[in-house]
Amino acid sequence: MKNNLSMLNMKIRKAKGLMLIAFLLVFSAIQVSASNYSESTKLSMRLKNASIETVLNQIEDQSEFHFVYNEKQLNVNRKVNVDFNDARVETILDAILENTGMSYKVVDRQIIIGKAGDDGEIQQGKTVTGKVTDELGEAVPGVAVAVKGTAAGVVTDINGNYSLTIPEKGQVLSFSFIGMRTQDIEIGAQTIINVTMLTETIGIDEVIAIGYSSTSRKNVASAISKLSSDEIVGLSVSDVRQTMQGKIAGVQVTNNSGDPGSGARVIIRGMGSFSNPDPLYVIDGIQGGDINSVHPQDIENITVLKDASSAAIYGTAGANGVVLITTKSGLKGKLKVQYDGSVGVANVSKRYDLLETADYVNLVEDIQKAGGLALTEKLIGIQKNGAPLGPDGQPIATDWQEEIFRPGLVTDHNIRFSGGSETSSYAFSAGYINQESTIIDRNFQRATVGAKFDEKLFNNRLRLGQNVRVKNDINKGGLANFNDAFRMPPYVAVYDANNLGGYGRADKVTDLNDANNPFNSVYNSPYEGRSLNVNLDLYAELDIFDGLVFKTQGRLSGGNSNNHTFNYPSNGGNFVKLQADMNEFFDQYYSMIWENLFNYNKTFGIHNISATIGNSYSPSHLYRSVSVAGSNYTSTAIQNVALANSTSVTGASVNSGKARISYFGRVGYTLMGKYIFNATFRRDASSVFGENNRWGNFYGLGAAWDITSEEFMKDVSAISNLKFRASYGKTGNDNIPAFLTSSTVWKGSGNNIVYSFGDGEAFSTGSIVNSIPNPDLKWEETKQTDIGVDIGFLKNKLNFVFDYYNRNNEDLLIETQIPITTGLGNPGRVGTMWVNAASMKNSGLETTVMYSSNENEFKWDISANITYSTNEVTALGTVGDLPISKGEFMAGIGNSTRTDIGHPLASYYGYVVDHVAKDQAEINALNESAKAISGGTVTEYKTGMRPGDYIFKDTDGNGYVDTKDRDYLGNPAPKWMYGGTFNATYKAFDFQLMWQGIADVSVVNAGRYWWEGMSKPFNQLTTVMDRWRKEGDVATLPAAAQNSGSNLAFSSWYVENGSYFRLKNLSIGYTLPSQVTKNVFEKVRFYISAQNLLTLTSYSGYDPEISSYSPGDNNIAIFARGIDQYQRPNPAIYRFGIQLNF
Amino acid sequence: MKKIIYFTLIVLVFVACSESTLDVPNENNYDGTTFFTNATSYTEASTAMYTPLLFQGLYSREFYFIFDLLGNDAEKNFPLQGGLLEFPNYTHTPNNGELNPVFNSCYKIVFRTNFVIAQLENWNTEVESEIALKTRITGEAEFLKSLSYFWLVTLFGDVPLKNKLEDHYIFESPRTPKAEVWAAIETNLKDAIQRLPVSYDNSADYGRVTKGAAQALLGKAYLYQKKYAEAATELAKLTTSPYSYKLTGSLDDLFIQDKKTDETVFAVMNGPWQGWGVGNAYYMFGGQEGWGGKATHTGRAMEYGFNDWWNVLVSDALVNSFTYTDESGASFTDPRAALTFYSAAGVKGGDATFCDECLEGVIQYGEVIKEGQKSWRKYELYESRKNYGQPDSPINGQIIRYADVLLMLAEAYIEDGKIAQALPLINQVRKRSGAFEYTTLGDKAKATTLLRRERQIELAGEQHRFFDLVRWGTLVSTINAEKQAAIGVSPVKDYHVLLPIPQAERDANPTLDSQVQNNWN
Repeated sequence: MKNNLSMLNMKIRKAKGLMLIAFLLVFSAIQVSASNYSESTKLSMRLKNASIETVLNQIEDQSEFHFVYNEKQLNVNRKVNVDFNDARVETILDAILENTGMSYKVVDRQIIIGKAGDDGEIQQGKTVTGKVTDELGEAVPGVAVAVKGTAAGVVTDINGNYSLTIPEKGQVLSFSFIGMRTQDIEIGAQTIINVTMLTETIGIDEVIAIGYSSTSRKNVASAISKLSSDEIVGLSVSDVRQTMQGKIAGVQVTNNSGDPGSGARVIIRGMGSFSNPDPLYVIDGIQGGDINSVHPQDIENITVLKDASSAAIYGTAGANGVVLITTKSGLKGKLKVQYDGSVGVANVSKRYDLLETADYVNLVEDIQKAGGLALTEKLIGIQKNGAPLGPDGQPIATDWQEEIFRPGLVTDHNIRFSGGSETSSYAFSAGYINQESTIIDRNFQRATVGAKFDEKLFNNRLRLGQNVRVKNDINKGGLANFNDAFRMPPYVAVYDANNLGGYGRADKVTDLNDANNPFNSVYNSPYEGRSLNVNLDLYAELDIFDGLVFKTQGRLSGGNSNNHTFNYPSNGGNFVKLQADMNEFFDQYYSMIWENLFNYNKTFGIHNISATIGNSYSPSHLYRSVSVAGSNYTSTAIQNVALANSTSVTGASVNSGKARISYFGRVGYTLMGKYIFNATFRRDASSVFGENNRWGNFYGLGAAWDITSEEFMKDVSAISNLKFRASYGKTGNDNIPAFLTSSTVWKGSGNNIVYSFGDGEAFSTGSIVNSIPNPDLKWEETKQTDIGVDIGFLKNKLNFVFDYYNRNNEDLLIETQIPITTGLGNPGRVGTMWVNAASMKNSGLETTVMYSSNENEFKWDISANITYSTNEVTALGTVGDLPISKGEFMAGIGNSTRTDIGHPLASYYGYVVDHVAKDQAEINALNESAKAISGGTVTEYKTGMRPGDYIFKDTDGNGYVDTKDRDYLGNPAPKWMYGGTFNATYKAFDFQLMWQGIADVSVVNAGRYWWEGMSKPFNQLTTVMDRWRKEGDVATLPAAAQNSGSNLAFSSWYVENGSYFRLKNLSIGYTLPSQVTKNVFEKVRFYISAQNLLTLTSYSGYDPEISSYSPGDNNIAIFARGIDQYQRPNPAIYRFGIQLNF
Repeated sequence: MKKIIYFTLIVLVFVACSESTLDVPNENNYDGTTFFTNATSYTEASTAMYTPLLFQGLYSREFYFIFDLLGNDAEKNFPLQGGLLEFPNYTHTPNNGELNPVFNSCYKIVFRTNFVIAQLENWNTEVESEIALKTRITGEAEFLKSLSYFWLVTLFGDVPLKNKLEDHYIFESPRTPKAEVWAAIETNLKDAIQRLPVSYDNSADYGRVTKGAAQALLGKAYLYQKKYAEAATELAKLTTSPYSYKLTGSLDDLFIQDKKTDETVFAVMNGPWQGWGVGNAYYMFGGQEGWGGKATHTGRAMEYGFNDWWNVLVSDALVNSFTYTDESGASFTDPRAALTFYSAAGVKGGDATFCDECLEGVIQYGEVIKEGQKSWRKYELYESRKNYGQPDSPINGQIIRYADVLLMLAEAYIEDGKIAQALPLINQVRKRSGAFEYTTLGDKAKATTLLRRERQIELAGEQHRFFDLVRWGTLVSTINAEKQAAIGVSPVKDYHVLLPIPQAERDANPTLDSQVQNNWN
C-alpha cells in the first residue's frame, strides 16, 4: 500500500471514486474500536526474493492493516525473503526492515513506516491532540492529519479526534479532507490543536466523477463543473434540473413552464442537435433512469461533463454533454436522522389589462364591419343597454384572468435516516412534494423513497451495493388555458346554472365568440394521472490485485403510468353538447443496462497511471401501452370505462426502445503530479441505425499543466493555483426515433384509417405506407475543442475558471421537409424524411469566479459565472439546401423561424413592421414608388393594402413587399447567460442570494395573435384601444380584422427582447444555539425563502423565461424555441422551512 | 485458481452481449416490404386510397366551404371567420390554411394509388378470385388517381404529374403541362373502365369505384377539355346497358335522407359518427388518421346549419336563380328551391318549415330566423333534428350523380350543336323535381343559357359552380356581377380562375417555385 503521504496529496490506494469517503470513515473508526487489532491478527506468508512492496501488499491483502510511508525514505524495491506462519505483523516488519534504518509504528490498523531515530523508534517529538470540526461545529471524521515534510500522519476518528506524535523535524500540521480546504497550522508550542475545516469552494483536491470512475480535480484536463449538495438545495423545485439553473457556466436551464411538475430542459454549450439537444443523465454511475426519482435533498453532488474529451467515455450518448448525479450514501456511525421541510405559497402577480364590456363590443363591431358583416341582436342589445345582469342584479363583468389565477400551496418534506458499521452502511430517505398550480386547478404530488446499502466483504476486498429508488407522481385536475380565459367575453358569467354542466358559455351565433369557458374544461373534465417509477441499481466491486479493480453494475428500471379523464355532460362553447365519456391510458415499461469494467490506478514514483476498460450493454426496453375510451354513460356516479355503454381501444404501443452495445476505455497519465494527459475511446452500436452504420467510434484527448507545482512557481505566493487545460474529442448522438431505417406500414393512430363502405356504412380498415425509410442513417458527430485555465489567488480564496470551447456538430440528423407533391406524410402534413446532413458550430467563452472569506465571524462566499456563446449553422442537407422553415404557431401566419447557413439555429424570420398606414394618400405614394422602381411591372407596394394595415419594410429595396422581404428578426439562443450565488453566515444566521439571467436574446410573444390581433371577435388587451379606426389615425396597431391575414403574418411585431435578470432565491436562516437543542437535536435551523422574488425584464408577457410552445416535442423545442404561446408563468414562491438533525 | 477467475470474468465481460441484441423488431408497425402479400392486406391498402377523400380540403371539411363560397352558391354569414372569410371576399392567399389542404390531400391520394398499383404488380397470384381482385383494385386506384388529377389540373393548372411509385421519390418535381396531365387522366380512366365492375355483388363493397364512375369521369374530362364529341360518346354510354342509372324520386333522397339510390355514380361515403369513445366528432378539423379516432362523417350540416353554427347563407344570386320565367313568360319558381334552402313562408320558394319529422313537431323557419336570411336545406338534417350538438352529418358527399351526367351530356350535345338531343336530357332532370319541361331549348346561345341555369339550380351547393364557371370562362364576369349586386364590390380578378400554389410546396420545392408567377400560380 504505497501511500505517498506527501504534502497536500494524500492518496489512499483502495479509495476509488465514491468509496473514498466511506473508506476513510471506516478506516478512522477502526482506530478507536479495535485497539488491539495487531495483537489479534495473525499472518502467514512465504515469499522468496520479494520486494518490500510485495510483502506490504500481502499484509494488506490478508489483513485490514494499512501502511503509510514516504517513498523517498523507504526503498520498497529492496528484495527480502519471508517465511512466517501465524505471525504478528510486528514480527514480519521487524524482519523485513532489519538494517534499513527504518522503523515503524502501529496505530490500530494503520502502520507508519519512517526513519528510525537514535532510540530505534520512529523519530518522534511530542504528541499533539485535537478535534476537527466543520463550520457548524460538527465533528469531521476521516480528516487526514499529516506532519508536513515527514511521513507521520493519522486520520481523525468518528468523533473528529486525533492524536499524533510529531517527528522532530515536524513544524506544520496539514489537515486535509475531500471537499474541504486543506489547512496548514504551525505547531509551535501547542499540544492541542483544534481545527475548523472549511468547505472548499473550488476543491482542487476534491474528487470528481468522470464517468465510470473518479479522479482528483488535480488530474482533470477537461471542462468539468461540479455542484455540491449545499448548492443544490435551497429551492422548491419539482425537477432536479431546476436546481442547476444559473449555477454552471455554459449550462442553460429553462423551466418548461410554471406548471408544477412540468420539468425543465438543460442545454449544455448551446443546441448541438437538430433532433434532440438533451444531455445524458447518469445517476450513481449508471446511465438512464428517471432523474426525478432522486429528491434534491438526497443528492451528494452533480457533475457536468461539458467538453467532448470528458463526455467521450459515453460515446454515442455524450454529444450534448453529460450530467452525473451522485446520491448520498450512509456514513459510518450511529443513526443520523435529518428532516427538512417547508411550506409556502406560490403566486403570480403580473396581470394583463383586458377590455371591459363596452370597449369589447365596440371592437367586435369593428371586426364585423371589416368582414362586411353586422353585429348580432344580442350584442346590439349589450351595446345599447350594457352587460346582462347577473343573479346579484349587477351587470356581469367577469375578469376572466383574475378568475383563473390563485395562490398555490407548496409543501416539501424530506427525511433521511443514515448510518453504518465497519462493514456496511445504509441510507434511507423519503420525500414528499405537494405543489398547487397558480392557475386553476392542478395539484402535483410526488413521493420519492430511496434506500441505499453498501457492504464490504472479505476485508473490504469485495464491495457490494444496492440502491433502490421509487418515485410516484400524482397529477390531479386540469389546467386552465388562459388563452381561453382571455378570449371570453367579459359579460359572460363564470357560472350559469341554466347550462348543462353549470358554467357560462359563449357561442358564435349570438356572441360571435366561440371561446371555451376554462372552468368548464377544467371542472367538468376531471383529470388524474399517476406514474410509478422504480429503479434498482446493483454493483459489485472486487479488488483483483494491487491497483486493479473489477466492477460490474446494472440497473433495472421499471414503471407504469395511468391517466384518465372523465368528461361530464356539459354544454361547451358554441352549442357543443358534450356527452359523458372517459379516456384512460395505461403503460408499463422495463429497461435494463449492464456494465462491466476494470479500473486500474497506480503510482510508480513520479508516474501515476490510471486506466479504465469496460463494456456496456443495454437491450431494447420492454414497453407496452394501451388507451381505451368509453362513451355514453347511463350514470356518471362512477368513473369506470367498463361501465360505458360503448367502449373501444383507441391505441396501443409496444417496445419503442432502442438497444445499444458499447466498449470503452480510458487511460490517464500524470507525471510528477503536474503534467496530466488522458485519452478516451468508445465504440458504440445502436439499433436505431441501419446495419451498415450501427457502429461508431468516439474518442477524447486531454492534457493539462499544473504550473503551480513547478519549482519556479514556488516563490510566487500570490498565485496559489494555476493550471492550463486543453482537450479535444468526438462524441455522438443517436437520439432519433427508432425504426426510421426500414419501411413501415401506416395504419393511422389506433388503427383509424377507416372508410364507410357498404350498405351499413360500417368502418372498413385501411393500411398503407406513407414514409420513405432511410437505411443510411448514421451517428451525429460532435467534435469539440476546449481550452481552459484555472487560477487561484490568496491561497485559493479567490478562484477563476476560464474556458473557451468550439463545438462542431456534423452529420446532424434532420427531419427534412419534403415537397407536398411527393404525397408522403401523415394527413394534413407535409412529408418528412430523416437524413444526416446539417452541420452547426457552437462556440463560447465561460468564466466563473469564486471568492470566499472565512476569517471572521462573518463568513461569506460569492460565486458568479457568465457565458458568452454563439451558434451558427454551417451546412444544410435539405432538398436544394433550402433553409429549414418552422414554427408556424398559428395556421396562416407563416413560419416564424428559419434555419439557414450562416445564421443561428431557428432564428426568428419574418416581415419588419414599419408602421400602420395612416391614410390612402400614404398608400398611393408607396404604390407610385413601387411602379417607378419596378418599371411599372408591379403596381402595388403590398397587394391589397388599405389604410389601417401594417406597412412592412421593403427590405430588398425592389419597391414592393413580398415573401422575399422577410428578414432575420432575432435569435432565440441567448448570447449571454449568467448566474451566481452569495452565501453568508454570521453567528447563528445564514443568508443566501441566488440570481440568474440571460441577455441578448429574443422571444416571440405569440399570445399577441389572439389578444392584440383583433382578427376575430375575442376579448383583447386594452392596447387595442390604440388601433387604427379612421383615415388619418396615427395608430400603433392596425385596424380591427381588416386584412388580418396579412397584418398577422409573422413579423417583428411578435418579437421582443427576452433578456432578463432574476433573483432566483433569497433565503435567511437561523440555527438555534446548540446548548438549547443539544438534548434532543443535533441541529435545528429555521429559514424563510423567496424564490423568483424579482424579475427585471422589458418583456411584456407574464414571464420572459420561455422554452417553447411544446417543450416535450424536440422538434418544436429546437425549431420553435422561445415562442411564448400562453406558457404558464413561473410563480414567485415564499416559503418557511425547518431543518432538524438528530 | 485466480487465473481462472480472471479469465472467466474477462469472458463474461466481453462475450456476454451478442450483436443480435441490436436487431430490435418493430412491434408497432408491420414491415412495409412484407406486409402486402395477400387479398386481405391488398383490400386494406385499397381502403386507404379512399380515406384521403375525407382529409382536410376534401369532403369531410373545407371542400364545401371553399367551392360553395368561391362559386357564390353560399354567402358568408356573420359567424364566418378567419381563412374561410377570404373566399367570399376573394382575398385568399398562397398561405390560406383551408386552401392548401386541397392540394396536399389530392397528392396524398396520388401517392397512395401509385403505391397500391406498384404493390399489386408484384402480386403473382394464380387464384382466380385474387386475379379479379388485383384487376379491380388497380382500376379503383386508376380512377381515384384520375379524380385527384382532375381536381389538381382544373384548380392549379400545370402540376407535377406522378404516375408511378418511383416518381414520388423525386423531390424537386417541375410542373407538368396541363395537356400531359389530361392525357394521363384519360389513359388511366380508359384502363380503369376495362378493369372495374358495373356493380358490386357484395353489398359490403358499396361505395367503391364502379365502371360507370370511371366512364363518367372520362366523359367529364373530355368535356373540360372541350372535346365535346368524345365527351358525348363517353357520357352517353352511361344512359344505356350495362348501366342502369336513373334519377331518384326526390333530391331529398340523396341530400336529406342519405338513401342508397341508383342516381349516385360516385360519392364520398360519409358514415354516422359512433360516439366519443370511437371517434372524435371534430375529427374533420385535422384529426384524420390521428387524434380523431375512427370517424367518416362530415361537418357540413353543423357548419352551414342555421340552428347551429350558421357560418354561411344561401347567396342572393342562387336564391334568385330559382325564380325565372317559363316559356309563356310568366314568373316561375322552381320547386327545387324548397329542396335547396329554407326561407320564411312565401319567400322565394324556399322551405318554410323544418323539423317536419321531429317528435316535438313542425317548426316555422321564420319564427327562428327573423331577419329574412335564407339558409341551407340541402345536406342538412333539420327535417329530423332541431339542432345537432355535434358536427356529425352522415350524408354522403355526391361527387358525380346521374343528373350531373345527364346535364354534362346535354352540354356536350349543345356545344356540338346537337341541341335537340340535349332537350330530353334536361327535361328528364327537371321532371324529377316537378319543374316544367321545356318544349324547346332554342338556338345554341339560348340552349347554353338554359343548360347553365339548370346546372346552377340542380347542382346548387354541390361545389360544381366554381368549376363550371371557370370551364365556361365566365367566372370573373359572373361572380363580380353577383357580388356587385349583393355587397357592392367586384373582387374577382383574372388570376382567380386558378388557386394559388401553396406556399408550403414552394418552400420545399425550389424547381416548382421558380415556375410560379406573380406569387400566385
